[in-house]
Amino acid sequence: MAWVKMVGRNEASGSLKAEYDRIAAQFADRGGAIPEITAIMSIRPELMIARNTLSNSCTFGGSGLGRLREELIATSISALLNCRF
Amino acid sequence: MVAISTDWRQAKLSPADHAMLEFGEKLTVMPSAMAESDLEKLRQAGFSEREIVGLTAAAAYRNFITRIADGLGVELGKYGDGYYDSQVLRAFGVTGAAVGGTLYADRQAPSREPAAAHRVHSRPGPHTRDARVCWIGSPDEQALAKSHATTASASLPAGLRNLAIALSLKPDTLAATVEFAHLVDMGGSGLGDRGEAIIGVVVAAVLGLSYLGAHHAQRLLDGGATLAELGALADNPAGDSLNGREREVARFCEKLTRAPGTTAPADVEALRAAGFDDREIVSIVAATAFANYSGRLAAALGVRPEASLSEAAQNAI
Repeated sequence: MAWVKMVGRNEASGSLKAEYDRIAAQFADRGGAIPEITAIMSIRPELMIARNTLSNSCTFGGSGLGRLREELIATSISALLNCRF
Repeated sequence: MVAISTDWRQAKLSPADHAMLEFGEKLTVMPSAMAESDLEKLRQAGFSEREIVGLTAAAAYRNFITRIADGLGVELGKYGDGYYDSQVLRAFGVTGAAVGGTLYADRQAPSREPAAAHRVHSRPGPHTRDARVCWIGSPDEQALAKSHATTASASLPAGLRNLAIALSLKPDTLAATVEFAHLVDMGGSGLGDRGEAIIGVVVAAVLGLSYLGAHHAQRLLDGGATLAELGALADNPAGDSLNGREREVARFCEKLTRAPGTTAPADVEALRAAGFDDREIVSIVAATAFANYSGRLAAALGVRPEASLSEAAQNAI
């Protein structure tokens, strides 16, 4: 469990619920579970949604480099920073 | 991918991928040392101007999202056997029990001492000799981007004009960056102008980032800070130049910037003890992570501080 409060999918309403529903559909292969890296900003829903938009413009094919190169960058920098997540 | 997870230089990579990861590594550990020659290496490896902007954004974003994860203790979800590659998990020191449990069991006794800094101060050289506002695109392309930026000025933060021009080859990234900035860095964080500016100056000072530092130094000066106060904060971000809640924020931001992989639950508890609630803590972490992103974007793309900034602000970092 992360170190700050998060709003669960069952508690969500309005724009947060809509975003959760969209993410759940995107991650259908994970049983619709909301990744904690997404929900971590749910206490500020507008920030969570903006973070998702930023993420999609830089990763998940949004960089224009292709998914393999995006993951090479992600993995190598995560290793440099000792980020286990 | 296992080699990438430990030492990417041991992996068998194409020359273009090698150049790409070398660029990302430098941007991560020594962002203030970025030079136009780093972009030239990417051009020689076959990357277009637009791809260079995309690569820079991808690498800067990784410096953002790792700090979100480490600053707030984000855990991996458990999505079934075989979802994660066990060799990659081992390369990152993650056990099977940590998946769906906690990645941070060894961070229960935190150290307040950050790791050694990767601080190499280097100002973008070409700006003293030419009229370009960044290292991306030709002067004609920059003039066109500037024209577009003027047209869109109703939604564009005027003070960030040069960064916007540098990102103009990727409008989606520019729009997403501006949208996020409004929520954590331009009065939308709930931390106040001074609080946001302190975070920006701390990150800029730790990393030696002049563009980021100039903008936030200007905000502090506009808010009434003296040059002496600004200098003391820039010289020693976690030192004695601030008191109470502001000092606690500065300490947290410095640690999350300098050594994100050492952030611990007790660091968040220290913010709570200083009176911050969870919503504010999310904002502090998001603002710090965003400064690590935007500052690196500007450094890598050689963005020149806007002429509207005072000389004192431009020389702050």
